[in-house]
Amino acid sequence: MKFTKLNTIYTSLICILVIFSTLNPSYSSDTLDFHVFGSQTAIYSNDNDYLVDDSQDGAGSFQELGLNVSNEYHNSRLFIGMQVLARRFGAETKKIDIDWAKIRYNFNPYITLSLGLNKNKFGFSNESRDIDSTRISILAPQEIYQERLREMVFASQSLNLDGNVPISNYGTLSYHATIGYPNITNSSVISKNFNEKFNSIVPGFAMDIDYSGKVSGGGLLQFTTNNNLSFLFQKRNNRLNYNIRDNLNPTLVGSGMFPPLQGGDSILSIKSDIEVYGIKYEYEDWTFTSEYLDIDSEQSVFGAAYTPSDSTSAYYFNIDYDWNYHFSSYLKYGHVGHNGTTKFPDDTESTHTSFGVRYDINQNFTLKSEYHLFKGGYFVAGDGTFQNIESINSWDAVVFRLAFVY
Amino acid sequence: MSLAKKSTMKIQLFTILSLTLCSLCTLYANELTSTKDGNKPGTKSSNQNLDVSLIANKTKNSEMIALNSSEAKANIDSESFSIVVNSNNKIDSINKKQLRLIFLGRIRHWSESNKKLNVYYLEATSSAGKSFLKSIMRMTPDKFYLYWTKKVFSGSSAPPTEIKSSSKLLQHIADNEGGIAIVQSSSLKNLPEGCKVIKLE
Repeated sequence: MKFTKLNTIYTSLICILVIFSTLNPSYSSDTLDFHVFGSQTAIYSNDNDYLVDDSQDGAGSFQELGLNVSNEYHNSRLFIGMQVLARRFGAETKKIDIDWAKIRYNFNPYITLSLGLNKNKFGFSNESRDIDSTRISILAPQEIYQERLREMVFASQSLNLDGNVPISNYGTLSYHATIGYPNITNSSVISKNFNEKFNSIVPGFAMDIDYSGKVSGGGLLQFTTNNNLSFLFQKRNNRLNYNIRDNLNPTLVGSGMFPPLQGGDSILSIKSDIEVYGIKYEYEDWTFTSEYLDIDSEQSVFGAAYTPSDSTSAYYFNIDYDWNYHFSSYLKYGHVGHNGTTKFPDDTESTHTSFGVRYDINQNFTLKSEYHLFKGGYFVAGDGTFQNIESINSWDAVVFRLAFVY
Repeated sequence: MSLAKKSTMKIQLFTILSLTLCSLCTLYANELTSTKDGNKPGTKSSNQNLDVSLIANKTKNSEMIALNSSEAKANIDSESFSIVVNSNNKIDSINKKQLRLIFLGRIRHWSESNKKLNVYYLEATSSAGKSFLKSIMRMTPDKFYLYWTKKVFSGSSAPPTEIKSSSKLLQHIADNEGGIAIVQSSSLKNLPEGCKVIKLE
């Protein structure tokens, strides 16, 4: 298990409070809440790997297990809680992380402050993207909630301000503002990829996150009418700075290959500007959802001016229908356009059509099955350079899942 | 992706969204029309509850008789629901918007007393539960469960407590000053001491 210093602080603090509330039940307004969720997923593809990048012949699996504990204090205005999530994608090392751990104070319906490791409000579904029972499809739409971008948008060590403002008789405007650090560490996939890439060129070369330059911030506005029609707009910025690790072979610096860093300089700085637009309508047994994502990234090497490095535009349309208490189904169409200088050739476009059914055995157990048709290579799992990306025309996959929630 | 291509994609998306929005507006307009005509399912039960009279602080059947016959009939309707709070609560009525925000977890305290709202409801799949969810929340039981599962696992707030037995539910309200509950109107015949019914405006 890998903990950052902050995560250790959260864990310790929350454990102390949980023990305190158990020993002094009169201080707590409620009993402790425990919830668990988990899933086992199997994937079969006829051509490429989908999601799990170490599968053989397109087959793979992944497992998730989560546990949360929380309590409320001070007339239920103070909330303290945490959630731990274990994920295993194919042969990837089993990883147990703190999903969220936060302290929140609700002043009134208009103002709520939370501090800690927060799951980001990102689109309609980021906060619940790992909770299978919150949707009909097995995964949150990969056009917006892409596994490859998970670390960039998933969670932040942040201070959040949230609130709900009723707008006359029309509905409610929810707002969210956040400032903090993106939850990216040296053990994150994005960091490992950088190091692997540079190590292949210069052995011994390794970069560390420069925490002083790590910033994440943004805001979200969502208006929901009394008829459950929602509109969402979000803007978010991430900034990451990487420095050469201290143990870099001094001869490499001495050789002049790498200039000595000046104060405040980083060897690599990455800025990402993210926008999301969404519309959702729930009408009786129908739910219609559509979201649009736009990401523009820039990078700067050795403190030089930022230059565009990567851009992605994606959208999807999804229709859900609940047939009865047990059965529901969905149909989704998505599109991703990507321009990257390294991973993909210019103007790479991919489409993704899927449909599936969900069967709720009871309130706790769910079975799901879905079919995916892909055109293009964007949804191929992995982070390597795909030599034949343009030759990928059409491939498909079926996915099955058993999930539980308590 | 080139800038021109990106702009074209945005325009296409905007067009599709606009068309979708127009369709939804049409759907909404139709819904309003049918509501005016009194044809919409769910409207009936909410209107019935508009007539529910206050039975403040009283539990005796004699007080129930104060309801006029049509109100009593509305209350006994198997699909109708009523709103019950603790008898020490000073409020006499609540509007649909407030009730909706309470059950969405967006209002969590009584404004006058600053007490925590303890929210209870009779099984979402019961006829009264369905009627309440449809007319006030505009949700099916499935969607209501989904909404709260999302909230629970993102650490937002604790869900309303679902209770299967009307008598137990009413007892919770009697024991809890901050309590509010949706109950089947027919269960008001056995309203325990410490509970009162409030009007839905």
